[in-house]
Amino acid sequence: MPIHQYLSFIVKIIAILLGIIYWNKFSTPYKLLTIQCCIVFLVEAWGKYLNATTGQNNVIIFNGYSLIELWLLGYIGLELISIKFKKFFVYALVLLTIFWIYSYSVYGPEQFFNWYFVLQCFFLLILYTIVLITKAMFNRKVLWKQPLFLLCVSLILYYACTIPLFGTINYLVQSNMKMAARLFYISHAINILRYTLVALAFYLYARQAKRAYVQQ
Amino acid sequence: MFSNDIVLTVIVTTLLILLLIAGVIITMVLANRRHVQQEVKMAQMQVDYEKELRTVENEVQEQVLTNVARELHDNIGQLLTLVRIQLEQEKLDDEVLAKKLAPVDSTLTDTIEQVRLLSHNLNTEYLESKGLAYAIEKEVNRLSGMKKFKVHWDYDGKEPGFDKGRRILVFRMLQEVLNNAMKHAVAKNIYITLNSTSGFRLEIRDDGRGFDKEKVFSDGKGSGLQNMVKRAKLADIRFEVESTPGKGSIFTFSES
Repeated sequence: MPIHQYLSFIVKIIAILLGIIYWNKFSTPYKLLTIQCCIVFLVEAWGKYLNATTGQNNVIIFNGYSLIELWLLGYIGLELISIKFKKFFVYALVLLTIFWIYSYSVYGPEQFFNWYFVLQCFFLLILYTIVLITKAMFNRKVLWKQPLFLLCVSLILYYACTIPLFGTINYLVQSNMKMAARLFYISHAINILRYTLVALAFYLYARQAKRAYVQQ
Repeated sequence: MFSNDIVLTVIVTTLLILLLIAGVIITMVLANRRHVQQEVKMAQMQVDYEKELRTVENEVQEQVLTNVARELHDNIGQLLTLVRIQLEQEKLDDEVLAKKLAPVDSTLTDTIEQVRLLSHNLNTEYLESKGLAYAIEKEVNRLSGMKKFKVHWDYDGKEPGFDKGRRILVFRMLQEVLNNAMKHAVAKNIYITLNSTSGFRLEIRDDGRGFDKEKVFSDGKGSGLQNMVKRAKLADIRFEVESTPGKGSIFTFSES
């Protein structure tokens, strides 16, 4: 396994461990994010195992996971966003779920739902950009010391940067599988950045919660 | 070849997006930093303004108290002395009346003394010349004279090195504590300790009924306490309250 994949697994494990250690100090969005980290870790490990041992197509797992991810991250975003935007995103969440079902019925489970994934990326990008601007940006605290800022940046970075890759992945797999596999380096590299920021957000959140408790 | 173009497009687009996000984040961090600095500046200005306002309030209050003290001393005090002289004259003329008026004379003497002490304690000019310890001692004497509770006064003999403004604020806070003890605490003993050998420390302890500190502060009922907190901030003095219902209270003022 290449080094960047190892690194990607390691940062995820660190994020999960921090999430478990500080679980009691977390609010609902951070608890859900810890669960999302655990699920993504298991899904990736399972996909890797399937691919390495049986050579089976693991896209089916990622297609299933993408719906879970949409609901988990969507729900976290809805918990964090201002109430006036909530309604719009709830509708979008439902529409995206319908689109996932449509993609499943049209392409079947063994082909990656790239159009669905691109729409999901746009949905999460808009959601977390609004959270970032309305909740983190005009806070009195220094921006990079805010866990919410790190959380939003991690998600925005990942979903913005993977749009070109996942948007063309089906075409790339059909035309040049080797190149497609090498291009996955982008996803791993951004994943490393994403989960490092998530781990940092977990740590900062727990530290700030502890300080707030002591001050009380 | 076509596939390679796609790959290149994917990589370049990803890098461009990455750069764009990095640019946006840097701009946001800079904007936030400016925003935070502005907020800090505004908060500081607000604090300075409030401090200035409180200083003016205290100066006005002190001026009013000085005028009241002067009126008490020069007007009420003189009138009471005149009444006493007239009474003495009546007593000289009639021995039976002298016996009857003996308790009145005693009460009048006490009243004159109380008015004199009150006038003294309201006027803070002597705080500058004679110091905080002297003023506290006078206040202790005045309160002891009222015979409502026993005041125990302990002093290490060293005057705290405060300017007049701080002395007045500390003295007024002490008066507020004693006034509260008199009104609400139903204490039998009040222990006042002034220590300045190893940094300023003034402790006022009573054995009264105490109170629920959190409740008083959260209900907004303790305006006297809130006032003391503001005054302590203004004087740059650390103010602590310890109180348990049924177990008395301890108020401590110390160098912050």
